[in-house]
Amino acid sequence: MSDFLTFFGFQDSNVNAVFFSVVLLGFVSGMVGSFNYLKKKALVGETVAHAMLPGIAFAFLLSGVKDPFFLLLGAIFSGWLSIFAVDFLTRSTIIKPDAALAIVLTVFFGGGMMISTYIQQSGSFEQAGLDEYIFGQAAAMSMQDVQVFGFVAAIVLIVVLLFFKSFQLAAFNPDFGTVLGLPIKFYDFLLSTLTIFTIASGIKAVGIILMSALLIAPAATARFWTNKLQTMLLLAGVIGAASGIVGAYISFSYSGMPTGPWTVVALTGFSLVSVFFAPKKGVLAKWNAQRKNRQKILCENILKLAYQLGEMDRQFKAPRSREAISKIRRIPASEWKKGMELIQSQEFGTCVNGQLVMNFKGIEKGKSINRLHRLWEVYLARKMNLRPELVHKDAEAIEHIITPELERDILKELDLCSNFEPLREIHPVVLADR
Amino acid sequence: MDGFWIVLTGTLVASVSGVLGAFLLLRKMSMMGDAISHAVLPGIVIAYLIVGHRASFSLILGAILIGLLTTFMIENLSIKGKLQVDASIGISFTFLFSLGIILISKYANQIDIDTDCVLHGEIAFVPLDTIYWNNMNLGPRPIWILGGTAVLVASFIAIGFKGLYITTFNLDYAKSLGINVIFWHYALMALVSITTVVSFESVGAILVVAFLVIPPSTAYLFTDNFKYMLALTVVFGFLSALFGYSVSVWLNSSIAGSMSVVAGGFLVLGVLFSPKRGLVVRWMRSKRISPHQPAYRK
Repeated sequence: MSDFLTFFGFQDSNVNAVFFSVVLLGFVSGMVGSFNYLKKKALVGETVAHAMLPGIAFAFLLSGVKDPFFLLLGAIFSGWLSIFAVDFLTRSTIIKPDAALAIVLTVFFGGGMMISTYIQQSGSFEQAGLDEYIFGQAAAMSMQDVQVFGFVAAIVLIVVLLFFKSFQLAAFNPDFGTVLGLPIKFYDFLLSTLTIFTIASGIKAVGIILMSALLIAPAATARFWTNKLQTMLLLAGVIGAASGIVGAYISFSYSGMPTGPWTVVALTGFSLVSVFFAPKKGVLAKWNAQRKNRQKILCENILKLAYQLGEMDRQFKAPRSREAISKIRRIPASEWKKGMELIQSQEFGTCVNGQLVMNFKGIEKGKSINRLHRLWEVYLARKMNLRPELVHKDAEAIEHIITPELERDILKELDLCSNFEPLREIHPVVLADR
Repeated sequence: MDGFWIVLTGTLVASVSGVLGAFLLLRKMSMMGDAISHAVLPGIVIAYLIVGHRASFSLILGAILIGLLTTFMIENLSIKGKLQVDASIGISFTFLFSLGIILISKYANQIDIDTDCVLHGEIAFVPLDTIYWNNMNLGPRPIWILGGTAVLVASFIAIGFKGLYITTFNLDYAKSLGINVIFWHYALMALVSITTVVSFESVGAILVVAFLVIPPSTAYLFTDNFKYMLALTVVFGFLSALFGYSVSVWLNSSIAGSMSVVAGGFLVLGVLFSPKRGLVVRWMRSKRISPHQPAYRK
């Protein structure tokens, strides 16, 4: 508890530096990452982050000092070069984007290794500093880092606000933008530049892996909760910042625990929760919708079959057993039981001694499903010129989907009046004739 | 002699990972190499924690398990969770790598292991690690391990070539034939993780990832025939190892880095001069062809 108070009470200046750094960096990466995610370039961050090694090493080789500004410049330059290389490979050769990313990553990183071994062997310099540039030193963040992150965050926010509409177009429909004569390539370049700035500023503090994770996971997570770009950007930023806080807090409370990896674990936690529980897009929501749909189809099928039995002996309210219905189409016992429960709860009828007794509402439902089935068969046979024996299977599926509006349209297409009642399905008639 | 062993090691790694990489390339999963090379870290750490030393067998077992776990996580996130494939890859490997780091931090005082020694093997040390049998020098240990892996991978591909081939080129057709698509996918990924882990120790992560993607891509620029592509991959892998080593001796720089860069150099040559679709050839054709004829497209 005292940890909690120290951490969130902003009493320790070191803690404050880490806190504000992760919040700013997490927020910016979430935002920038969202655009990359939407452009289906989520792994660009991973490549660019690795590709910064040669730039950093080369800048060090040239200047001979570990001046953060020079190293940053080198990182940004080689980041740009790598994005250019990826674009060139994807555009001008048959190499696919994923391979281009992997190629550029390894070649640049290999080049960086060559330069840094060269530096190591020529002695003198504080070479150890370069490694940490790539692998991160989250605990060592200072107020100076906070200023850098604040600066980058301000730039990113301003550019995103100024170019919001253009970026939106570049992310969702670049071809349309090109046709309109907009400089989509320039917008792409600007977005890449923002990505590079973010990575270059963050990589020393958090390392390659956390940087990649921060660019991917918040955006992917936010996408599950919204369809609006503004909301997505904001949400991704908040998720990035929140994970950073979790990571920093765990690292602060448990000695020896690293900030970066715990941030990634928190990020993954957010993603997994969203993948499962997000409304509409989550696995659970989809699974539930599928289950509901299956239940509806089962219910409608039983009512339809019972109605067909009713058509044969003109006794719609007579009790129907599973065996009787299974003579038309087999319903397994377990499904029958489930179907009876559903029919009773939706008040389509009652279950007496395991037999179905439809009420008025149930009879109407069965009638309408039958009607839709036959209507679709007529439509397929007449308008699509399908052979009559082929129409039944298609109608079995579509009968559960046709809405009243669609029904009206079909009737209009067929020049039929709205109370057209096909007496029987087409296919048994045809098959019987043969 | 040292140079010979180093080039041989490089060639072995290049051939094994290149051949597997060719499948990955055509399945548009090249970043899987990078992903698995990061994701196996927790597997290695856990195997180390259980066994207590870096014995190859337990490491390989851990690697296979974690490689399959990574694949499982990526597959489920992208298919069941409807996440973009690249995002699923990114989330999965960063998560597993972080778990590995956390484990290392937690047990730092109990085990002598860090990310450096796991991910940054040094190919220059290969000739030093020799094995003896009855006082007879049998050559470097990594050569034997890599050779064993090469035999394993080669025999698997020879036996399962049809399955791998058909699931790579036409997934839907393979499904319609009743081929177990999932089995081949996981088998390939298991082989990739074995290769990655085995090669880590001797050459370092970056060279494995480089050899997984660059030689197959170069070969891909030269031919449309898959068997030729596999053969060319091995050739380019050998050339990259050979010239990479020469460059590293010349510049006195990192061997793994030089090999990756030289492999990249061959790719650039392929992009420019490939007789089928090189930029130079296309440029010359575009000059020769009159505007009335349809232009040659890649």
